[in-house]
Amino acid sequence: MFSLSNAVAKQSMTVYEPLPKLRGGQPLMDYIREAQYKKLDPSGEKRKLIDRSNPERLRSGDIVSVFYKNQKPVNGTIIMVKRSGVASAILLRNKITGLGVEVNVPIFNPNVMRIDILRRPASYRPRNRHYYIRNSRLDVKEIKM
Amino acid sequence: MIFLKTMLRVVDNSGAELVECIKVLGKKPTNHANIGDKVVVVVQNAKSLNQHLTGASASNRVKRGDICRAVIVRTKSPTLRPDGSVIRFDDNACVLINQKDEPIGTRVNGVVARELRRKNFNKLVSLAPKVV
Repeated sequence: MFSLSNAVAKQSMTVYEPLPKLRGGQPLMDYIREAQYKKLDPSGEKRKLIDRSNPERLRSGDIVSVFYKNQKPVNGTIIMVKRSGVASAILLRNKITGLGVEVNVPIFNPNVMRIDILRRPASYRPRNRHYYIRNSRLDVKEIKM
Repeated sequence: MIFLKTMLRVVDNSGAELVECIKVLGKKPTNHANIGDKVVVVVQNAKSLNQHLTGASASNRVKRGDICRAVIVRTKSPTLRPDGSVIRFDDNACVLINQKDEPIGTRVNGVVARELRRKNFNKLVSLAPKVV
């Protein structure tokens, strides 16, 4: 049984206005993602390279050249495209003097200026990650520039 | 990651072809070597000594069973770089050096990693045909 005095006390409590929602109600992770893209990729060029709906996107099997601001370009065949926001990376495999060399390039690195596709294969292999081609007869060839 | 007993390919003209790591230098308490680290190796396979070789290359030849120092120039294990990229080679390779960190051979075959320059192996890097 509720007593009358308790009900009166409830009525006299002051009710404040709700606080305005932070970031206009936008979820925090969406806000962080947008802020990161705005800082690292203002033109949207790099996002386009790994966008699945873009027919010109980077795919495993493409031969590409990565141009840097502060070092020499890196060439190789893509054997993996990792999509994870600003941590997205491509794995390039190349043969240098007959030896296999693999470089993992984070494409949102501010020192990466652009990524040029030199050649596309006639037909793409199934799957995105071509780890199985290492040291097999399907292995990448030396790129002659 | 080069440990005790790891077999390494030698990419210089010192005569050794295959060496085995018997000590990683200056890495206690972790005991594995990466690119640019020094190790003590024992020569397991060496090229047969040619009689007509003369000069510096003949006096610097090593034989099977010789113990010498080496510096790691390539590893199969991925190496993280300060810019977030990762480099990985298909083999483990080293170059034999003396006590003063100078290469024993006069030539370096094949690619070496750029990390060596930061560890003051500039002479070795300049001898290499390709730096990655």
